[in-house]
Amino acid sequence: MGISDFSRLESMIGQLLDRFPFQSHIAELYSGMTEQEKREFDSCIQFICDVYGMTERDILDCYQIFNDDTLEESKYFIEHGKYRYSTYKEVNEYMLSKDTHYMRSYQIGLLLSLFVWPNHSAMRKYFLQSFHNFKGKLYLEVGVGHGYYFKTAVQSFDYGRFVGIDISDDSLHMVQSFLRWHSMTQPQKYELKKLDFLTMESGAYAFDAIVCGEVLEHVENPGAFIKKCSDLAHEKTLIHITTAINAPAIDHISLFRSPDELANLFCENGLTILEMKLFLYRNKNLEFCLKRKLPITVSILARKAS
Amino acid sequence: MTRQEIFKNLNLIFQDVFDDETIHVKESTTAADIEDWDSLTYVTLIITIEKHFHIKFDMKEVSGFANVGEMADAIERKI
Repeated sequence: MGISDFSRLESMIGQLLDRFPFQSHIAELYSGMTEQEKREFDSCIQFICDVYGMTERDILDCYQIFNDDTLEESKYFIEHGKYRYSTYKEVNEYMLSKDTHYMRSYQIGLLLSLFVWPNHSAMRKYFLQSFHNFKGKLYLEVGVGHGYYFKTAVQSFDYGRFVGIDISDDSLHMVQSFLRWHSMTQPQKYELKKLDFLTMESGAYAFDAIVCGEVLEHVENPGAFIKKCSDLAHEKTLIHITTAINAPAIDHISLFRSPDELANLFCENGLTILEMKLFLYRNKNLEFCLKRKLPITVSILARKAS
Repeated sequence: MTRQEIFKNLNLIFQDVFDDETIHVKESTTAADIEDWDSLTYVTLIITIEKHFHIKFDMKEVSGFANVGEMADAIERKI
């Protein structure tokens, strides 16, 4: 595939830089992308165009919604030292006050951010390699969201069957469409369910991997959530949880302020951390990020504590 | 407040937020001209400008400012 094949992507990057003049990092990220990453990025754009009938401009509008809301919440966080909302009820009321397309626009904006936000981009790359040496029969992803990570897992990871759950009909529909668009239609390979993770019965499943990508900050009781991971795990289950420290967003309700706070939370709720990887804001050091309350994306690989 | 006075104040704000006394902004200054000008420093900048000029911005409005000149236009409209 030649460079000219990415002309649409390059046009969108140009439009993003025009719309968001202070996000010059987008140009840096794009210039550092491999051909494979550009193909992935372009396929996400094509999927949105095909399935939702959107134009490039519509997609940029979705990113604008996601971006503006995140900036607004960043402003609130800097001014108040906390996230705006702390309960599902508050977040749901906000979502209901928006038009019916808001959630979809937000998910599409979030999907784009995997390629144009430094922390999200770094996590996207890390996610693929994190499962390189693991395999098993049954893989669970909790909170499939826009579906990029679930699609990647089904496509690339060495597990027999994949189960994805979410409480949002919109998300499940988007993920199903994403998989179908990628011609991944084998019913024996994966299953998507509308389900609240906390209601899953311990002992009814034998998951070899449990993945929760950027979910922990969205739940009211992250301790109970981690405990549920532990309850559903057997001694060899690989648990991969990603979350964020000091990272305001409209639907983030649990604020984590440091890696130590997260480590304690895992320890207190039945998990042993194998590896904690931090993706620091614009490559600043940890001390600087914590002092300035800059966002840090966190990846934790863990197992059930013995 | 004249445009010149707005820029005089903006210079002090930029120098403070970016911790760099050598910064001198003009109408055409953009994020590309100042090291460390990213989304979050931009939010800090907006908060500082709001406090200094006793005005309020909508983030939808500020995310599209192409340069400091457009920022000054918005300040001029609000004070």
